[in-house]
Amino acid sequence: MPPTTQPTQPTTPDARPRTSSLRGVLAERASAEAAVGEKLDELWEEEPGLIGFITTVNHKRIGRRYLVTASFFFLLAGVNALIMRAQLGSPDNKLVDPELYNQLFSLHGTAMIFFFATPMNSGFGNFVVPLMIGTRDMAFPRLNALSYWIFLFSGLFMFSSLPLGLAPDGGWFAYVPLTGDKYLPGLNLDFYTLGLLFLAVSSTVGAINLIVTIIKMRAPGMSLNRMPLFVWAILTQSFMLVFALPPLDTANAMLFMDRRFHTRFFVPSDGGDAILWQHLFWLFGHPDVYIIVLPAMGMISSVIPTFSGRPILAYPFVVLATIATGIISFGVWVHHMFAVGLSDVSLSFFAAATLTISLPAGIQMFAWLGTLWRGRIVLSTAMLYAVGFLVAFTLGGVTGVMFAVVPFDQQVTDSYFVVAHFHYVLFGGAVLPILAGLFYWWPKITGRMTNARAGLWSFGLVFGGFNLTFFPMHIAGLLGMPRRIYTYQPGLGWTVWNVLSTVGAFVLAAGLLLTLGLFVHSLVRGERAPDDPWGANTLEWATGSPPKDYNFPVIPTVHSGNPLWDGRTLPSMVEHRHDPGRTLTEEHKTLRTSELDSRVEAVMTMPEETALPLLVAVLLTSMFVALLVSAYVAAGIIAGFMAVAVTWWLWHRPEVEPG
Amino acid sequence: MTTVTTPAGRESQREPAGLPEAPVGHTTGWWAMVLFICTESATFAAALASYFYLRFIGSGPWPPVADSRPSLLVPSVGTAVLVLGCVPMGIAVRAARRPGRLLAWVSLVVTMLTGVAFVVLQIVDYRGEWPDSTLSKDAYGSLFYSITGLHGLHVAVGVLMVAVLVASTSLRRIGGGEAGPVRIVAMYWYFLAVLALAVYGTVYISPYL
Repeated sequence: MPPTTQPTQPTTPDARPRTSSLRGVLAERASAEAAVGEKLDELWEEEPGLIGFITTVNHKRIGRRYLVTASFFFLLAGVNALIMRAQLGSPDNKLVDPELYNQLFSLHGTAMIFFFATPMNSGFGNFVVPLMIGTRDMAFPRLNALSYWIFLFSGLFMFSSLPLGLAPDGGWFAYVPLTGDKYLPGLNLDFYTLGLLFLAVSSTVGAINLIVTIIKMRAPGMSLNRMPLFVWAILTQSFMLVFALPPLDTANAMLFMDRRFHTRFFVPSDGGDAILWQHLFWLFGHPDVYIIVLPAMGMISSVIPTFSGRPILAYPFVVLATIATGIISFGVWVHHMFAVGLSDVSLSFFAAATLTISLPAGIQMFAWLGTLWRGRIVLSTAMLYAVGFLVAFTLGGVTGVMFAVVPFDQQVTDSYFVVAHFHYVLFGGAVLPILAGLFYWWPKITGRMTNARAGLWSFGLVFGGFNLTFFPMHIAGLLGMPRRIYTYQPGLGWTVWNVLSTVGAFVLAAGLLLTLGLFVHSLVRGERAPDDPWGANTLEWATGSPPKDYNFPVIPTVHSGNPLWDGRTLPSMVEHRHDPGRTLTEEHKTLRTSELDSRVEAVMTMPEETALPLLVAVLLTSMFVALLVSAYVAAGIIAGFMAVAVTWWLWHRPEVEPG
Repeated sequence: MTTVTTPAGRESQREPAGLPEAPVGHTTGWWAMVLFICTESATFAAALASYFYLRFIGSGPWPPVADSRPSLLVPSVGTAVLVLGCVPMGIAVRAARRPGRLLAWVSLVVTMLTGVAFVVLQIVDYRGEWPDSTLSKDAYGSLFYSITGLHGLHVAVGVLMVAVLVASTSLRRIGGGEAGPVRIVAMYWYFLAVLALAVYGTVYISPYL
């Protein structure tokens, strides 16, 4: 393998207390592979070709698919946004009519939140977490495949509505009574309610799978206080999904029944209440902001220590801040409803809670700044995006604190100021870290390096385009421009800001296309990546690039929170290379460890590849299509088939019949 | 070899295999069921909260004038049967840990029958309520049928789980010491009983208070 350092990214091994070189294969892994690699290869290899494609349960393949599919939906939703920006580029524009514009902004928001940001994080979680905690797969590999297939099919279900002219058109938060069957008849909102219920199945099982993986499968010695911050973030996020999705599901089921079976949940004249939807939606919706942002922050907490060459500052505080954010986020949803007319007591309480939630974010921000301050910074592409995140997220956070002030919120609610704020939080706070994470883990995912000079251009165009798109929206909003209007008249003072935003959107699109090209170039032409190209501190870099099917030939003993820098964790792979309790070469197995201290409890047999997840996902898809076209009997029959398939699945547990 | 000072490191030196003699601790399946129950609890919490929200946001009587209070006899019997079904389930868990399979099999069948009885009684209850209040008459009716219906659906799923356990025990795949799946399903069954009490207290008792 050729050595791969890049001219503009000087690596400084002397700053990192490490045992091996940054080039080629780590000596410790080479020794472990030599001992048991061949045996494990046979055990963990999957079917090649099409059969392997549909039956795989390997977390790395599934993680890659999550990343690719979510990026594809990002592209589609991004095109929606570009059409909107083109429409708003000049006053009284007639590029799209209001009906189509309603569909575009509704689908853009729904898709970006549900089908891009959350699953993108799941993709990183799937790929990176088992590697970071030193195990061989997720706790439930078949369930993992299921959650991917459901995500894919629900996304296609949702996006198929646009070519049919039936895309959701009630905004991404679909307020009743507008979204009731009286005002928006047609299938548009049924695509929304069913599509989100469909996706929720995937998110819920995915979250449960990640939690169980993290608490039961960490390598021996990786007690909770040594767990990487990205893993903490994914753990918190998954717990949030477990508790936040049910209110959304309840709300969507009620709306579906109101529209189809004329129940009266949201009909005030018959004892229902329209505000109930808002409560249930935002009880999910605000935690969802952190469901998206926390893993992104976790990525930042991975990137910054690596490229500062020192462990994160104040690790326990960052962990506590992560968890605190997760908990407090369930108590701030009413700040989305300050203009609804709730009681003053309720407004004061939620204003205070909203101010409080900025504290843990501040703690993390200072921990990152402190790490940079004390570190020796290497400005790689990933690090550039991470620093870009610090700036953008601070700006988004500042406007967020402004919304906690009730009178200000009531003044700017539903204006472009809000649009500017949440794009700073979601693009600045999630997309920039996701790009940082992509550049950071790209060598691990694909085995190829990316071009550093092109990375500079990518960052420059994306960061510049992002600010040019969204910063003027603050001003347009303060000048009174409401969100969700399909056009505006000249002479209101909004034109110039909209022109700037539109130009920015196309710069941003150019930057993202360049980034896509950069990744494609790397896949085709990129230099081969060594095991640990960045001199990083966490365990995923102790595997091959890309990792072998079994991840770790020898499951290491973790000695610290920065296992690759402690000089003892890597040698433990050599030490244990003839220990059958760590190599597990007899069968398709991995270790199960205790929840808190990560002591070895048992050896777990892992399932082989199977097409059952795909079958169940296809059945679930047909069930939702049947519900959409009001074929309720057919939906019931399909549910019966699904029960049979799931029973079959659970019947063949790997512990009972290995292989 | 490096000097090891951490507890984990010392342990791994003392027993090179690093494995306890018999598996200890909770399995991944156990944890998955705990988390599934968490998310289910949140679903029912959202549904029951909606019930009280809609009740107290309006100022009129509850149930609204056109409806009558739910009759109590049938649902009380149904809930009692489901709650008492926890006893045979508990016996089944203990029996599955022991060598013989007969006791486990019998108690699982009894458990399953309590679930079936609950679902049947719920349908009987619906037949008594239907003309009086319906799904689409007012929000009260919508809540009544959707909350009890959602719970009934969960019990039906629980019955299916226990049916699979009965079949597995008959085919000697579980029981006789292999109690893991029985324990996991039992947890869900107890959860259904707790839910039954919450639903009963909300939908049937609270209108009288």
